[in-house]
Amino acid sequence: MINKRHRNVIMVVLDTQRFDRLGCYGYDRSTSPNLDRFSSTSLFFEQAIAPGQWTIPSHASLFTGEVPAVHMTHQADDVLPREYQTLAARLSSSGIRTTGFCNNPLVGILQNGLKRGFDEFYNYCGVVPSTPRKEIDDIWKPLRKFWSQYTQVLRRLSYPIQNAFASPNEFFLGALRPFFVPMWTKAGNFKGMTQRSIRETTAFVNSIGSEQIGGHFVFLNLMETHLPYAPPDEFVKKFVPYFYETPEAQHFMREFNRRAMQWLIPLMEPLNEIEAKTLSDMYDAEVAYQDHLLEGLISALDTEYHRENTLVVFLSDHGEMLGEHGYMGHGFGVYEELIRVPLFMRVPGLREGKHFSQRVTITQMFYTILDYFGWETVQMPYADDLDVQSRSLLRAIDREGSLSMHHFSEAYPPENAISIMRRHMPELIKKYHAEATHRAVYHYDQKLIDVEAFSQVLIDLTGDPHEVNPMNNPGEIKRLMKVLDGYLDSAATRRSELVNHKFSITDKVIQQRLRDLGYLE
Amino acid sequence: MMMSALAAGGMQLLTDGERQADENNPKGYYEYERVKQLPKGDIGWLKLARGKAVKVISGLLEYLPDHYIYRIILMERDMDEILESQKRMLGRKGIESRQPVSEDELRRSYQAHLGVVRAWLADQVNIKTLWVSYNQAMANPYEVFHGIADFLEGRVDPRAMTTVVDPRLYREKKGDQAE
Repeated sequence: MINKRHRNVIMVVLDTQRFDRLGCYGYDRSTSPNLDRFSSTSLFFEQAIAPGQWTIPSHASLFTGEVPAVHMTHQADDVLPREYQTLAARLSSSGIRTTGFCNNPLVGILQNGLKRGFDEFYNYCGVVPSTPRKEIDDIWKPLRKFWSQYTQVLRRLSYPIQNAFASPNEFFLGALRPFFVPMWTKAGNFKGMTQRSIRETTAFVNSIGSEQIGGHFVFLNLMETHLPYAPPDEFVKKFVPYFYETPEAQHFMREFNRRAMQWLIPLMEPLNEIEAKTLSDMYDAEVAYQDHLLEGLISALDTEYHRENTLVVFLSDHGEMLGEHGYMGHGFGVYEELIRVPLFMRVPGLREGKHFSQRVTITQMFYTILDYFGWETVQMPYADDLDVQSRSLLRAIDREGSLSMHHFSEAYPPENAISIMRRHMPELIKKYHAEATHRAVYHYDQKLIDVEAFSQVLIDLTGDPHEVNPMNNPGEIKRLMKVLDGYLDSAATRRSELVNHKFSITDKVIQQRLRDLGYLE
Repeated sequence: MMMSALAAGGMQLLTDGERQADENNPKGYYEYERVKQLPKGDIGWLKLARGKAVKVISGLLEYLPDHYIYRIILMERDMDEILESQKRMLGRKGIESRQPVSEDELRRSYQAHLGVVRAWLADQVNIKTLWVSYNQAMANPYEVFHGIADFLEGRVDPRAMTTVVDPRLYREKKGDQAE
């Protein structure tokens, strides 16, 4: 049973991790021995989906328990509505210490509300990272203190500048030029510092247990599997064995790592065989490298204390397109490579690993974590006492078969990526219906892909896992579109509490005139 | 004019024919009554509008739910012509005396409103807006409709759209009264 005195949650987001590149999800390459081992003793979700296709909407859902159509935090310059108290804020206000270790600038640097509620938040990304301070009493202490204050000032100055690059503006478009890309990816720590962040999270995890506090919530975001790909040699040799003998592969990877624009938008032409293979294998090498780095953290969590008191969750916020269906990165579409994600958690009290085959969504982690800490209901902007347990994945096994039959994922087009296409390749917008919202509706193994105002296709995921042969079933498409409409209507009702109208016809003169003309009631 | 041009160009319209054609709009209003219910939260009808054109006055744009993506063709017209046209319409309805404000005051109010709408639209990530001058559309229909076809990713035929431009309907224009 769970020790009621100490409860902790460690949630590790493997940013950009595809489910199908992990051994525990059936991959035939040995990319993830440590995660595989950990997952074998976990509550393992075979079919988890992300609510959105990229970091911002997915993290906003993880932290609020709401779907993208409600929190409406989709863009790099969106801010999570204040009305939503984040998971960290709720936990912190009830005496649980909340600590974030983050490698993703979209979460750690942008002032978009995703950091709200963390008592401590360490950024390993950006021009001036913030990492845990070492409290050592030696002669260098005053110097360290001065340096810490100095970097704090620099950080404050740097954040607004770095935030300026989030909007689809000239800063953003300029930064994507190949000449500048190595600057912000390396000097700007775009992918953070995976090794250091894991090491410092491990040290933190080791320190948990002795304090008289209500528990810990630790959030770790890892970015190693995000572009650009530059894994250490030993992983390249193992997973891309032809790389150093194939100039074309080296040239392609070098160029692709500099062409950040291509990370964000669909492909104009399909990759050739060597390009596709290099990209895919380099991704595997990054997955394996990250898994290797996680060994220490996984071992640190394997103590009796943590086994009895700590809920440990591994999941991804979204996957990655590596050329499938013409897509790259994680800006567009709702294909499985992008929105089906790994999710497994070691639950104190669970004596052996269990597989859960019904589809779930990572948005449910919000309720799962609250449930673990003892919440029964939660106050939302539209409801005073929303039931937590019925949404919690901790209760999923007991209720298998009675869970929601329909699941949804939404891909609102990122304006930044659209701005690139508008400027450089406007024909791609039309080709991929890039400005339309793409949505997926799941019903068992059927999946409807709705490209708003353009097309709806129905896929049988069992017979067509690569989603290339749409079914001809207009009746089922119509039915699932009705389900989607219901979902959107429900979202609109929940969201209506948050809508801040930015203008109104307050001018009585115009109001009266428009009424007289029959345009208003 | 724009609604009939879009229809001629091949765009499906969401209309209900509730408001019949009259002296003010001999070709009809191309309206959908439930649009007026937007401020009351009636948004269920929007699912019917997917891929279609629907007429919404600028003052109601803010009530459009933001989980849809919109392309808005915002028709602008010379303010004096608008006021003149509205005055005639009200006159025909017999309610011209109910507006106890000067034209200057109305003009200022409308201009302020348009400024606010313009700023609001620029802020909406789910809305793309094309501002179209009614007066230019009457003068150079093909050029303007070609721009609209581009904006709608080729979903309308600009040449077919020009067939509906009827100078007789431009009767409210100053110095060119059709009546």
